[in-house]
Amino acid sequence: MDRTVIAGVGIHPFGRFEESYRELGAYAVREALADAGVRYEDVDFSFVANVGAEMAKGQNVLGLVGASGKPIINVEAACGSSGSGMRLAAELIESGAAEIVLCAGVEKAPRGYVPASGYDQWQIETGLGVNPAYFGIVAQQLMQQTDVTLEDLADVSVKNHTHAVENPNAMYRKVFSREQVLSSTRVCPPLTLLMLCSPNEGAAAAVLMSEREAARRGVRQPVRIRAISLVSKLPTDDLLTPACSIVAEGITRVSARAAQEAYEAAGLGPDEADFVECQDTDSAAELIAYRELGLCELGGEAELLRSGATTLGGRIPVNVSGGLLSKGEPLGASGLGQVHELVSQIRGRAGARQVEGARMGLGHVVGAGHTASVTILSS
Amino acid sequence: MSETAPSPLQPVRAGLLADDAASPGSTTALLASRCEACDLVAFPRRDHCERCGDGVESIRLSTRATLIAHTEVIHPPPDAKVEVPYGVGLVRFPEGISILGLLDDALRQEVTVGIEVETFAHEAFEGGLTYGYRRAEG
Repeated sequence: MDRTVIAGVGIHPFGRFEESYRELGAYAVREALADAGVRYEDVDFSFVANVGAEMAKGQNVLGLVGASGKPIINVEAACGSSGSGMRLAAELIESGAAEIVLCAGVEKAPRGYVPASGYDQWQIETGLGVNPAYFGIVAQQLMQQTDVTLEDLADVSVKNHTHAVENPNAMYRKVFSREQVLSSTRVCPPLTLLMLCSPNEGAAAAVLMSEREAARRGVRQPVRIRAISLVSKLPTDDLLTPACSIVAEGITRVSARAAQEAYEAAGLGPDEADFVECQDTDSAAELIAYRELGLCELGGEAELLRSGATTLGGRIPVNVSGGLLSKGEPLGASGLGQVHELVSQIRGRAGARQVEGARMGLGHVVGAGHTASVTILSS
Repeated sequence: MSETAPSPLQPVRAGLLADDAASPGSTTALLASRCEACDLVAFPRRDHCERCGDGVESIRLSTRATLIAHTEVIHPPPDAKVEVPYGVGLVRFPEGISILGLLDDALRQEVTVGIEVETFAHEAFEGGLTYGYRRAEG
């Protein structure tokens, strides 16, 4: 992609709130529009990402902002919803079909196990339709295939929670020790509660614009979109909700494919990323993402973490926002929440969690049903 | 006061087991499909290949396979009829497919990665027949 920028971003903190999903969404949208210096009636097209709300959800969110008569599309792909919307939005601008496109993501997810993840009834009844069970099995396999230990899994959570202390939009902003993470409630072994993210509520939004329009309007600090990949499942892909089986040999990795596609489209390599916001639905998922995003080879995940490279101040900070582990996971909003962080960092507006010299950042989301999307943004 | 009659045994989904009328506890093969063109194996069985769209043949998987990973569910999931705690395992079959399934209680309590398991007709909850994994005999 070579002519699309992000002109503004907005966010509603992640947590638990009295407001309806419509109000959360509208809050983030208004902030993004103001940040971009754009009125709602200037927007050519809107995409609203959400998983669990009522019909015409995007229309209902944006109805609190205005009534412009312009197209509104609702996008859903589980945790990949925002990424999917962003990809479509950027394509419209790249193709010249639109100049200003709004992307919003919003969710008010219920507490506990995530419902309606695409399982068949028999899986649900027999207890196989349990997302953390998938995470637990994948975590165990990671420990079998590499030198990742239980302590490493705990330390991912420690790192991300420490990062979140400086993120006013994160739900959990408290430091946890390795011991506290290890001794938190067992969920699906080897994972404990503090190694798993909590579904929650929140919203984020971005205003995308052609570079030309941004220049015409004098937008301050537009952030360039270098690539947004979007892939779906191949029959050989890795284990992910709600599939109950995988091939035994020749397993392909959906996130790795998304990352490769993004790097190729952008003409960049992983070495050029200054920081990363990846999908840490659980601690193991972050370590696996190190490898799939090309930050290390298979077997190098634990060392990358232990070396401090992925901690703020290190060579390639990962999840300085606190990640899903600390922010929580409002499914439809997660990807745009990452975009908000990427943009804030690249603009030098991340305050106490600023990554020094942040010029190029990577976002990564994976959704049930095997959607994966990698976003590359730069100054 | 009359007691409620026990629910009649029914497969939770037709066609998971090679024999839906298998008696609970008996060693029973899983029913899968294999693509006639590209050999991709699918479970539960499909009518058309996910990879190439071609026709498939039904196959019975080996009743013996290898446990490659496992976990436990401790907190009751909504709408699950099985009682916690229960074990879940990923089992690799010689036919080139690995399948998630329930572990029987004995296996859950003494489980090791890499052991040989066998598939059996498992009454996972009252009236519900599905497949399960247990330690292979011999």
